[in-house]
Amino acid sequence: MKLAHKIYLAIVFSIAIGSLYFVAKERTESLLVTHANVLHRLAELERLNVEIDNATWQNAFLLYNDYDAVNRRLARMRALLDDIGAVDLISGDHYASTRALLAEYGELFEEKNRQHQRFATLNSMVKNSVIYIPQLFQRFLGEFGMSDQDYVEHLSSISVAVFLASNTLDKDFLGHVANDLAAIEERHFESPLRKEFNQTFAAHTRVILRFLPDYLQTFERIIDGRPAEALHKANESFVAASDRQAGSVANLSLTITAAFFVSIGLIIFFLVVVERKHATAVSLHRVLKRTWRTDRLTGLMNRAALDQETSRSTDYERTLLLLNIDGFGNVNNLFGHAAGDILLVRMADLLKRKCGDNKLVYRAGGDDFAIILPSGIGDAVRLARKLLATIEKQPFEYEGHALPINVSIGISQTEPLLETADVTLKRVKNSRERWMVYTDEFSVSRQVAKNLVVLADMRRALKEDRILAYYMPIQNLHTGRIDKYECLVRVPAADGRIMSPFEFLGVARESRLYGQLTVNMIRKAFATFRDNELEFSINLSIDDILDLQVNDFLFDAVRTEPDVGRRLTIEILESEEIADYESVRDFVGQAKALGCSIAIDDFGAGYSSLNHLLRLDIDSLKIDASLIRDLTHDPHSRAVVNTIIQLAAEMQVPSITAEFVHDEATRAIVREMGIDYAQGYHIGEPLPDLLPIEAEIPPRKAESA
Amino acid sequence: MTEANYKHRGLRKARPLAALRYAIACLAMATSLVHPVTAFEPIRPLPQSIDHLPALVALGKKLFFEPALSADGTVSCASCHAPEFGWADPRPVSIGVHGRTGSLNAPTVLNAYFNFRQFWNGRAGDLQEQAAGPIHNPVEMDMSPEAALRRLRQDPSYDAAFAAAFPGVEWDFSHVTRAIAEFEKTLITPNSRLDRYLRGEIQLTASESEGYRLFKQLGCVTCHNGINIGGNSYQYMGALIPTEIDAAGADRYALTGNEFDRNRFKVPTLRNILQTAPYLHDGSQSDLKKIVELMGYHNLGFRLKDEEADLILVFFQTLTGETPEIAHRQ
Repeated sequence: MKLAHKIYLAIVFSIAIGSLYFVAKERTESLLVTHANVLHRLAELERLNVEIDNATWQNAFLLYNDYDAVNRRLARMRALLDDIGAVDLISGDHYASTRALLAEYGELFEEKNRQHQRFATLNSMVKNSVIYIPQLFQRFLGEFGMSDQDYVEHLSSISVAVFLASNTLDKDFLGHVANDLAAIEERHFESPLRKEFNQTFAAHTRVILRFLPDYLQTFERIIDGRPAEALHKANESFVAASDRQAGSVANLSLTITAAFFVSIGLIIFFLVVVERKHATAVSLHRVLKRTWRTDRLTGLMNRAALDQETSRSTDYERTLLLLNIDGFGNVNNLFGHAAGDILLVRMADLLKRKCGDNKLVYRAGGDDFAIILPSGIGDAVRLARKLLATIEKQPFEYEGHALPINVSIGISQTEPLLETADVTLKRVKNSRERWMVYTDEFSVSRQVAKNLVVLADMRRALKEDRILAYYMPIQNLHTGRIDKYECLVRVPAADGRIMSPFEFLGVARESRLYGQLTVNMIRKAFATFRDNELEFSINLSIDDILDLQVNDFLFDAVRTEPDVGRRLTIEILESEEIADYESVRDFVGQAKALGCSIAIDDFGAGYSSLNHLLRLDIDSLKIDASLIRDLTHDPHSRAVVNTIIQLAAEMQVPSITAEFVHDEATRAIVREMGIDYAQGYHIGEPLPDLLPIEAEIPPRKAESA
Repeated sequence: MTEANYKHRGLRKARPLAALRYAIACLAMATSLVHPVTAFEPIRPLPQSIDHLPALVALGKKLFFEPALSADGTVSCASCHAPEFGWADPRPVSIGVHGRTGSLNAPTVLNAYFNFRQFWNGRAGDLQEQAAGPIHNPVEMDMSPEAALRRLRQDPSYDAAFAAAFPGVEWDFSHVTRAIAEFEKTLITPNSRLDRYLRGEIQLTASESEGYRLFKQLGCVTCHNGINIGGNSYQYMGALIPTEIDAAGADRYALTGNEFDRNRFKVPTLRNILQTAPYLHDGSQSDLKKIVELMGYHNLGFRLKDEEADLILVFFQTLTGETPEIAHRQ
């Protein structure tokens, strides 16, 4: 079931229970109030019923009294009955018997009401006569005396009977009154006073005779117990019905209470379930997070963790070292992936061991490892050197084979760390260095933008023929004279700066403008050296050598001006990979046939096979800057240079040139070593023009020479 | 009537003396010399004020004096229950719309609230029920409930009055009679000399006291008792000696057909009796002394002595209470 459905179900359930509760509450309250009202009214009715009987007794007892007491209570009782009848509750099925009993009482009440009105009338008349008969008897004695004894006896007899009957409420005492009345009614009086008296007395006696029995009967009916009994029964019936109804209300309350406890139970149950699921989810999450961030093979943090860490911004300095195992593919190929894996694990262990706790080590993927240092470049470089030294000392041993392992390290502090470190690592791979620190020019994106600018500058320069030729002087160490120049290409940038080849050669090669540059250089060099006797050299790349257009232009130029061509030396870069030696050999042969000289440039820097190179019929070797640079203090470099000189002699190479002669000490050494020519900033920097003739031998060199 | 007025003036002339007596009575009260009246007195004093709903009373008063409630717009409740004639009709029988004459004398509205039933034959249970009677009666106001409502709804002044009296209720004819009844309820006449005597505030004069004693001793009180000195039971006219007065159509027999009810009427109140002439159900008698003698003869069975009747009349003077405030405002 969906969560939404569960929630809806819970809401519906709550509303149902809540509504039930309110219904029950309202019902209970209204029942209580109604019951209290009805019970109160029934109790008042019972009380009034008693009181009204008492009042009736009082009326019967006293000669005169106030009828209001009875009337007031009758009115009140009628109002109470109407009120009870109007109560909705009573009309329900529960109260059918109560209703019937109340109806029965209602009829009895109406009958009693009628009897009361009848009683009031009878009572007034009877009481009047009861008052008058003794008074009249007394008046007769006062006015007429005892002379008429027979008449007096009748009056006396009637008076006594009326007294007894009215005070005992027993009509039997009236038994002889009818005879007495008949006797006095028969009497005829001449005296008007006697006649009137007799008339009055007889009238009162007749009232007694006629109405007293009715009066007594009405009285009996009034004080009859049946209304009280009916009322009491109705009351009891109501209480019993109320009890039953209270029972049903109690059941409802019980149901609600039970539902409430069930709800509480369900809530607890769901809480437990949710808590358990939550705990599972939390532990699952922890595992997932660990595995998600951990490299399974090495146990190091993985690329995801690295990405997370590098994307985190920090308020402290940090540096990334990206380390790659050189030739890892060879290990895999030679010994299988199992060996590769072992190598990776060993490497990981080594890195963990060598890096302190505060350094984060990652497997960045494949055979790349990353270390994040919470410090600057200095520490990173120190760590890189330490790692390199350690790794070199510990060859990888696998099944008895000891394989020397080398690594390359790119170091960067520049965001984005991983990208910049990777770019640096690639630089390292493409260089002879083992480690490098990132600088902005490594940046691929910046390089691309820069390259586009360079390309545009180059195209414009070619189009406008603004490609410049700079000339670097080369000193003949035997004579001290500058009798050679190396022609170097320069491209003016849009901002007026003059760009060196290392800025644009890569772009030129990729954009196929290289050939045009070379052609341009050839033309400019020919123009410069046409009118003097100086020797000059031009650099040709393998691409140029393989480019027929360049070849044709060059050879055409040499053929056209053989005098100039004879002074031309073609420098071929040793460091470049040469795949097609046949073509190179053809080119060299053709060039030499036309009288040009051939030099190997940057000798000692590249990887190319000496064997192939030396088979070319070359005229000169130019020893690479990296070998000359440390000549003053590095015996190793001197040994290498000596070896090259020896080699050149054995191969009968006519002349040797030292590049990068940057100070007098170096010049002295190379001259001493027997090198024929020297070039470098100590001799003269590349300039757009040739040196003046007077300056051919700088004064200080002349002194030293 | 002239005699009653004479007696009335005589009472007013005797005021200084009464005031003196009153002062003495007060003094006597202060020294606890006045005897407290026993609980067995058959007559009870009126309350000095009565709970009522003022908005209903205001509406009821307006309706009570409203001739538009009659068919020809000439007769209001007040036409036959005239405030200046003790809220009763000075004519023997009432005259309704188009000069039609009824058969009965309109009884006073004063203290009618305390009657156990209304009308001479008690056919109405209360004042509200009573109020509808004359409005519908063809010889009185001759209006159906619908017609009466139409008339009242034409008069915009009733909108506010009904709205105030019955807020938020769509009013109908029952509200008309309810309001009239509420107004009539307030028409009480407290503080009559008898009431003040019964409350122990004053002493009655010797003749008043003698009159009251006779009233009780002669048996008048067996019917005229309670708060209204009557109005709380049905009794016969001519209980002892039949009267020649024609009761046909007015007695309870006309209502019930029960032989027991022949010549049986609701006992009228004796409060303010001096102001509510003429007397009896048919208004056939205006001389109060004659009525007292008549009642004595037919209902008590003998002829009152002249001095006895006079004393009863003196006693009757103590039954006049304070006129309701409303009478002064009209």
